[in-house]
Amino acid sequence: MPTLVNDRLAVVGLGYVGLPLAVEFGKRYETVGFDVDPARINGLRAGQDRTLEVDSQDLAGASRLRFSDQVEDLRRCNVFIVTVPTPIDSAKRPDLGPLTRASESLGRVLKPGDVVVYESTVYPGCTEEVCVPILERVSGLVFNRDFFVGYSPERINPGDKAHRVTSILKVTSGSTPEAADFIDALYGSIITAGTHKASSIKVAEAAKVIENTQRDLNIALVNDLAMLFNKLGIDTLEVLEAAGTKWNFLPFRPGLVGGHCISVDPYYLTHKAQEVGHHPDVILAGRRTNDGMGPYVASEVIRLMVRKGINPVQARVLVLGLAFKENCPDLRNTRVVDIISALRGYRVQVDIHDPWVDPEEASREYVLELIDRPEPGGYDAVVLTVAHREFRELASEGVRRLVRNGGVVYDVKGLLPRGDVDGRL
Amino acid sequence: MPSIDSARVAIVGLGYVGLPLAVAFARHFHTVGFDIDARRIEELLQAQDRTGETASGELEAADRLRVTADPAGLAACNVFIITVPTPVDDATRPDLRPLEQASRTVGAALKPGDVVVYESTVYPGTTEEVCVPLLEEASGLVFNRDFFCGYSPERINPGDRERRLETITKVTSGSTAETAAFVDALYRTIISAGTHLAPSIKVAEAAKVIENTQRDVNIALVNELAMIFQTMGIDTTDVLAAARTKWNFLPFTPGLVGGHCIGVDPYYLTHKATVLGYHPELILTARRINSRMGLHVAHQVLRLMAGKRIHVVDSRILVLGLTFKPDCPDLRNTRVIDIVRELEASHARVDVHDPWADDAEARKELGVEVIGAPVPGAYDAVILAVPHSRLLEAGAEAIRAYGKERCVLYDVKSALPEGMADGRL
Repeated sequence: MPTLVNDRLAVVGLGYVGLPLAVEFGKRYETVGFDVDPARINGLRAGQDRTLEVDSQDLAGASRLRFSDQVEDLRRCNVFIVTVPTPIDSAKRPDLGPLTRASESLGRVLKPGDVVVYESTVYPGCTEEVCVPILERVSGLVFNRDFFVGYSPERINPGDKAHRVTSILKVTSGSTPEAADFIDALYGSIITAGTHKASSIKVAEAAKVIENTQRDLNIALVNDLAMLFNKLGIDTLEVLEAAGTKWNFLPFRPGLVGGHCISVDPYYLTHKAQEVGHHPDVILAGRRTNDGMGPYVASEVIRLMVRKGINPVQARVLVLGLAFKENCPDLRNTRVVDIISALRGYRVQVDIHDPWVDPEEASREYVLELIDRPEPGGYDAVVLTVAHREFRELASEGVRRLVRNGGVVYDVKGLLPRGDVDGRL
Repeated sequence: MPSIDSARVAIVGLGYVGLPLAVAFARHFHTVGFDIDARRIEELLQAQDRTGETASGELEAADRLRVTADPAGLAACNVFIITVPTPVDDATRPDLRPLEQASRTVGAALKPGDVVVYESTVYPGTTEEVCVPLLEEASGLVFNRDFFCGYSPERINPGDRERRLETITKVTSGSTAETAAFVDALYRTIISAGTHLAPSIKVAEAAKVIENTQRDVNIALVNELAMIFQTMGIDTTDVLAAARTKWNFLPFTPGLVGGHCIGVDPYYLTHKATVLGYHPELILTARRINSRMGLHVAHQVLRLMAGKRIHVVDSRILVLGLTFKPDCPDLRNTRVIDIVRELEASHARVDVHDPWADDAEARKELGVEVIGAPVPGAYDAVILAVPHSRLLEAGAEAIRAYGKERCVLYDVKSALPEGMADGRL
């Protein structure tokens, strides 16, 4: 095993997780930042991070960090940290493609004594059951004799400037006690918030995957309550405000659950649970509720339109916001698309406006055309889907100006005062 | 409506909620404490509170409090606060009989201008749809003309010495704007933590019932995780310890969910939801998981016994702890009984020991004989079901020593040091 003094690191996958990590390690150790995307490598060499997690000054500060898209450049490294995405496929099964391809690449450069650490969110057992056999097969080396592995889950919160990689406590683990100690010391050298050494790789994997599962379920509960209270004619936010005055009430809010984490990670856990013969009823019930929120919002908008005598067929509806989260350009797994397709199911004409989103990406990923400037007074209904600050600044008058007289304003995120909208979650 | 200065308060139902409230109001107003249980009234006249919520000194000091079991004692009052229990029946349906009976009793004493405030946990709509008609019928008066109503949910945490009635923010509401202001001002005279005036009675009712529902669902999640991880051979306590190092992870732990609140309140909400045609799948799934945990524990113990080649039939098993929560004598809706019954169904001979539980009450309510000091070395399995401090004081070795040399020790709440028990949730 290498010692901290002669560590030569490689960070494999330079997304929003890998890059900040490579930058921190690159201040202290010889580090190769590797990504299969040549455009990403060229951008980083020019000092630009389009995920906006690292600014150019930080990049320049990592004096021992080099970028490469060539596997050959990994050969001189002895510690490999894998930070590739772990998405789901269209049937909501874990898509381990990026993880297995990264493991194959590493297998080709692995030498005796090397250490491989995975950071991607996986189900418990994935590192040892899926990744290790690939490393062994491609390298011809023997696990826990010739090489060692670890798991240290990423906890990056994209866009969060208060919780950065060095200020978030990090869970570590290793395939032998010595490997665990080594990995713990390695991360301990850059994480000022400290580390928590878990008793095994499986425990560390499980700890990560339940974090977002817990958030998902709590949002599902308030979504369920929102739909119930709507039937009861009670405003959900008023109820949550009253309940929030109790010291231990958890302040979750209803909404769409999209993105690459909260709505994805639970499926990794449920996949593995079903494989071992346990049906994860609570988690899946929560997932089902959250996955149904887009269609629910659309049906509420249609209901409000019909009650105002607006025929949905050929009606014009403006959707304000497409990103999965406010003040951020990220389109990954946005559930706003569910609202749009449900509205189109009623043959509504939908316009979409989002000042943060790259129109080309929207067109490429979702075949959706964004409009630059919504037409004032041009819409039968406006659906506020994302709490971008531009929309907050529009305020009630600005939003109301977009709909024609007698039109519907629906507020998914509770952005406007209750009395100014026709409906909200 | 009375002015605050002329309020003469009646508290109807002197349980763990009503008595502290009566004592607090009696510091400011002439107060009548009413309970239908003559034995309870006798004890209170001797300054004895067997719920342990109110010290005898406090009771003796409350010289403006008069307690009675005679409804005639209510006649002189003009503000009635109802704090009766709202349990569920055997089919887990809301049992509103105590609430209905109390409403009829108060209705008989009601005069024009009076105010009735409910504190019991109910489903949204109960106060106006169930209680008000009974008050009208019994009094012959007209709601919101002759008399007025409010709802202000209790938030007492039994046994909690830190958070007392006065230091917990209280939600208030009223049937008219003036009533709401009156109810709010009335409570502000006794609650130093302040009040939150909700916009309607229904909102206040909903706020209360979701508080415990949220806890129930969160515990169900960790219970489900515990079962999944058990199947995978991963220790749940280790996983939760690692996950808790993230700043926003919620520190719930697996276990039995008993008592009069968390295991009961969700059924009020799901009852109303079902009546409205909304199927509360997530909440009911969570309830189902939690109500099965006793069986799960029993099955784990039986499996561990089989693993040690201990015959279950005629084996002797010691269950330590019977109450629904540690360091408290409360037996209401304890789920430890599920463990006992399931083990007995497997023809094990079960002894139950609990230093807190009242023997007579355990016999009457649960049909369980609580034994005194257990004989060391006599048992094939020992289950630490409720980690009372008095049980833990003896130390893990002493608990283990109740078992024979070859025995199973199961630690439901992970209260013993790691490695001591053969199994835990």
